[in-house]
Amino acid sequence: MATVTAASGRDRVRQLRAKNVALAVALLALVVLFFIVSLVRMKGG
Amino acid sequence: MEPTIANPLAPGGGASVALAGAAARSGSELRDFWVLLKPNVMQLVVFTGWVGLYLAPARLHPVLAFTTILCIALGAGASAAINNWYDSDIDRRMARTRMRPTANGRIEPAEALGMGIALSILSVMTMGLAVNWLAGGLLALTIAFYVFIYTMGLKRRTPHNIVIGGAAGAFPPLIGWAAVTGQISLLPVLLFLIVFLWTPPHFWALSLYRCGDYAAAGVPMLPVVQGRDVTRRHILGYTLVLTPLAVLPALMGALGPIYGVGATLLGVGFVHSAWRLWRLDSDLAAMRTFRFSLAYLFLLFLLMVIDRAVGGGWLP
Repeated sequence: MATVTAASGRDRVRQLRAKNVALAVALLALVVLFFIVSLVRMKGG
Repeated sequence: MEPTIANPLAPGGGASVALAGAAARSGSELRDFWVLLKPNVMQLVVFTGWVGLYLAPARLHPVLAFTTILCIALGAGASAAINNWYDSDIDRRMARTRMRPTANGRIEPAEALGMGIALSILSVMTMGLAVNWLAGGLLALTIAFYVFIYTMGLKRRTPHNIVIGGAAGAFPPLIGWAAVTGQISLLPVLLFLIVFLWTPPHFWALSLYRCGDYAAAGVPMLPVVQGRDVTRRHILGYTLVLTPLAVLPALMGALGPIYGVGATLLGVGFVHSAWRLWRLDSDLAAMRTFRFSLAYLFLLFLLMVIDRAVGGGWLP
């Protein structure tokens, strides 16, 4: 039972880490997109 | 030590299976969030939105065109996430939807709602700031229409839920066009009407062979409330109105003969499928009409692109 609890705790950490990485990648992509869009609009695109 | 799958009947085996299951959940959680956005619906919305953008009588910078399509996709995903949150109780009672992550508890309802609201704000603001506010406003209207008018207002109250609610799925070609031109003209309005009239027969065909599902969930789809005969008659009626309307862009000269001939043939095929369903009531016929309706819309919009690519029609 203790093994199961420890393992599910590790699993929860893994889940959270995966979610955080996905969120970070999405935010980074958004920043890059906004940067490029700003360049395009400043050039009158 | 990494957990391994073991015989659940062996002593201690159940724990190993539980660990393996937990690891699998970890890997599939991001996929659950993706499923929450209803990627199948998103594909169709993105495609019709792109066609609206492509047909517009000007060109958008590729980065802005990409941003437009991304915002349409995110807006559709946002609506789907909020819909999943609101409908998780009835989704649990339907075979078709009971595996949705909010229905089987893999995603918490509050998480789905939060994601839906965040994506709604993000998509509308990005569209408005990066492209133009007409497109942003139309996207906001689309999301609001799907969430408040269809999901919360009509879906559980009236058998005509899909008739009015279908407008939400018809907006993307208008949004694509508005993103390029900053205004709305006759051709995108016709595209809106085509998708608007296509939606009821498409979903009524589905609800004919999923009738028990909708009845169990208490969703008053037309076959549940008014019976199969009325539904089949409505499907035929809508296809009879849709077919000439779909040819209208060619008759007006906004699109060329390739589209005109193709739309006529597709329309004849759709009416034939609906007529067969009307004559012969069966789940198989309903399923065929449902599948044909999907192919119909996809091919119709593809024909518009091909026609414009070879220079058909004049620009309204």
